[in-house]
Amino acid sequence: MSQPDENKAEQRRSEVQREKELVREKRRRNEGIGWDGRTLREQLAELEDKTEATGHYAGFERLEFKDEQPIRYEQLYSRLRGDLVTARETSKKVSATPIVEQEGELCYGLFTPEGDSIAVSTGIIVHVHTMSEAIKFMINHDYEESPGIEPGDIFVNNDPHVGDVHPCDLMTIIPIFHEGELIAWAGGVNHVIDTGAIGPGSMNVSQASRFGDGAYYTARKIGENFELYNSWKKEYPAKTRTPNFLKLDERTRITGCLMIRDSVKELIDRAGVETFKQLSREAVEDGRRGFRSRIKRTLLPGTYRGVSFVDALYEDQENVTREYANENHIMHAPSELHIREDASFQVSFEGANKWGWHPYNCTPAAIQGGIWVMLTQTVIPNELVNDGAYYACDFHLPVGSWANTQNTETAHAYAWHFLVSAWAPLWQHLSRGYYARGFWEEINAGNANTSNWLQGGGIDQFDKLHAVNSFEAACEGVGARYVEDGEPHASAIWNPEGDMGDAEAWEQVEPLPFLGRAVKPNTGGPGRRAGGAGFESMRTVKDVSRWLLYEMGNGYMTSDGGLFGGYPAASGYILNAQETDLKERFENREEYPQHDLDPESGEFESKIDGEITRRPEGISTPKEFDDYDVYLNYLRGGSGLGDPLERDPEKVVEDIHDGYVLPRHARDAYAVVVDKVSDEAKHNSAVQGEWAVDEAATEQLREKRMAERAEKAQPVSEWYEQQRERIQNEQDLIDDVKKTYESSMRMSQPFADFYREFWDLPDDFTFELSEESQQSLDNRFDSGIRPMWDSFTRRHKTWLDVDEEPYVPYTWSSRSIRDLPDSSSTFSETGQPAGED
Amino acid sequence: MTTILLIKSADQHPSVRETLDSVAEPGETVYFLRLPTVRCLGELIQEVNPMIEYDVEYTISCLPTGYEVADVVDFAVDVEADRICIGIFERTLTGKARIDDLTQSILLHEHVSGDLVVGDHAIILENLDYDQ
Repeated sequence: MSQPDENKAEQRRSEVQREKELVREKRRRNEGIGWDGRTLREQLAELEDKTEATGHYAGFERLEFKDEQPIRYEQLYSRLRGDLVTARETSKKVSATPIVEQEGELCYGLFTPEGDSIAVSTGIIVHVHTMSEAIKFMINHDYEESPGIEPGDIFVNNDPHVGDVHPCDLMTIIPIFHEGELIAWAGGVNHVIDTGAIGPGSMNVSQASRFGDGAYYTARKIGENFELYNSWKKEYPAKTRTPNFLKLDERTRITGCLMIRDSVKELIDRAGVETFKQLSREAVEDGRRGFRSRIKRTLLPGTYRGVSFVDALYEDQENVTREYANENHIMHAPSELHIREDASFQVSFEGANKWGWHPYNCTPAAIQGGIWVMLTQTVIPNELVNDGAYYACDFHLPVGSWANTQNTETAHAYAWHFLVSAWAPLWQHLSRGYYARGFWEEINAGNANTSNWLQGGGIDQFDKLHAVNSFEAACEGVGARYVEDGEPHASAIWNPEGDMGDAEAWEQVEPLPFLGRAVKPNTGGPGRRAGGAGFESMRTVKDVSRWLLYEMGNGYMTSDGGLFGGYPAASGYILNAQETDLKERFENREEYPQHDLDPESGEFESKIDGEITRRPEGISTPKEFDDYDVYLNYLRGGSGLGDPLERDPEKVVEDIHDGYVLPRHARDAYAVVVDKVSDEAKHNSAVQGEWAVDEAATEQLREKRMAERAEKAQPVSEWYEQQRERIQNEQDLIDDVKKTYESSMRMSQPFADFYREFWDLPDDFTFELSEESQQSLDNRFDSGIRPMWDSFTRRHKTWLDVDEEPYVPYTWSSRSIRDLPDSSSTFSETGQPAGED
Repeated sequence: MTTILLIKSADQHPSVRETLDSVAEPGETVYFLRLPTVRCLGELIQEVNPMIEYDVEYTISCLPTGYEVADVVDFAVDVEADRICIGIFERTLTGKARIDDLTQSILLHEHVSGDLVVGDHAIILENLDYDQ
């Protein structure tokens, strides 16, 4: 350590000793560590009480500081926010994983004593609220008494039931004290390579319950005086396959947290502690108002409805940890967004189906964090990003559903699979509102589940136990906008600054050399505005033993349907080659596969011999791979917007030249006829040659397509009758689909009533399920709940009050939120029971 | 009006509710004053939600170990309290409220006087007058 650093560390240690004395003195006076002698739990309770009673955060009906000293307010807030970004940019260089160093899967937050985020850095800002929940958990479970919260303490958490998306997001949280009072918390979170799950990687997919998810650290104190306990230093490295990487990740987070602490201390020295307190309160209220103001300005009041699905297929998968988990799942996410005249924003997932024996289950912190990360980029890109949004939104997440299991047995390793699929309709709700108000630049067809996760591990090229988790998925195609095409291979919505990372950086830590990396044609959804194309990396395996790899993404189903007539992005598939002749091909300098740009062309198969697996599925459980085997990492595209037949044919030719569309696909999807005019490629084309539009043929083909559409079209009433008969007689309905709806009907009486009424089915209608499906549902419904929180905070009632009517209403059947007098009213208050007029 | 609620136990919901329900007026200020036997009123506040349910402003304060009754009276003088409410924790077989040492000491304190009202769950010293 350099002398200045040594001095800084010594200064921190002496500050901590002095602060500790003050805290102990307060304790002797029976005072808590909160403001004005209160305990943190008292402070939290009072804050929630005041916030709900007044409708303003902490009762701040007036933003005194902002109103009276607007420039000073902006200066101080910007300084804090800037310091958070600096902490992230500086500390990420401490980490050795490309996940953090290349992709920036790292985020910091500054929180009020009650755990509300005041400001967040850039990065994976999904954690704007997950760390908040972890802090609130500690407060509400009396950590102030035991194990104690003192200056210099260090806490860790990765328990999604406490406050996290999934256990591979490890968070470090430290309290910041001033004169014996806890004035703020600093928290940092990053995605680690391996959590010590039953399979290698950060998000294993073969486990049935949390006991295969890897290590859970439930809001634990792991150090004091800014020193980690020896017990912690000995414990966690043994619980992961990548201890050195995790150690550096932890140093990264601690570095950032200390930088934030220094920043807060400096601000207090400069502006005074009362100013800091005022700023922190006002910033959250300001964030809440900013959110409401944007909603009021850009959307129309009303109820927006939608639904999404995604598949998770485990039937006949190898290496599933429990026999009873060997079944297929379809996530069902019916969603309602209610916006009322006062800009209240309420999301209900009533009708969501039961959680499953898979790692895609969610907790409220995951859903709320996940939805806010998209809201920050759609609703409030120009406002303060903090927990003001938390206080501006209400969620109804049915207890026992995949969205809110309240059961500590459930697995959560890759909660994102369902989470991002479930928010697909939310993009559409917002876009329809923007359209109605004329905010066309804001419209986006949606950014759903576009990932494949290349993961695995074994003995690597350095003869060490290792795990891999490629974050190339941080760079995917995004949804089309109303006024522009979606950006190709650009980012991922969960990390808006995403980057695919340098191939060389990945190769340094993964024994998986790149054979090729390219834009993947036909992956963006067709539309008047096309969805952004995804990309692919072809990887081989080198110098490994007992090495496992697996895939994780959507397969048969794509959760984003496209918007205003646009088409969804292409769904996923798996391509592997094992027992290959790649080594001989290298030695003989023969052609070898670098891409799979056109999966139907046979080109890949023509350049390699071996056991080739192509499956139209997105999930596989860990499979053994050996040297010179091949794995395709295919990152999906975004969905399209508008009728593809309205796309300018010249744009389609540009798409061909840019490698986004194959010539034959131009005809199929866009009804654009193109001719090859030269064999010599002048552009960045995946398909060699130059192409031009045949205008006459295109016009003719488009007319023909329109005629075909008119011929195929049928009145909705006819379609409805056909479908009703199909459902009533259970014709051509696979067991997986029937199980999904049956599960939703068992979860929710209002949904069951709605479903039966909509399809005009008998009141006692249920689906006939196979014995296995029936048993699976019975097992899960009989499991009951096992909540992690003993004492919920008041805000939790928005997703917890489900006995009769939830706080956030749902309007299945013929109810309307227009019947409710104000934004805080529920149907139960009006005496209107669920599902009735 | 200003009310002091002396909190001897974190389970003192009934006396708090009775006081806020029947004595305190909406908009008035309530001081929750916890004794050293109570480390935290968080759970009680979360249960009662004084502002949402009773529309009162409130603050939470505490008395240190070894405090004296004079400290309670000084606190009452400082905040200009109009009443002090103390929970009833025990009743005799005939239903009479048993007055503990603390309550008795406040009632008998030479610098404070008022009207004694005994409710179902709380003893209230109303219309306080201070003789300083």
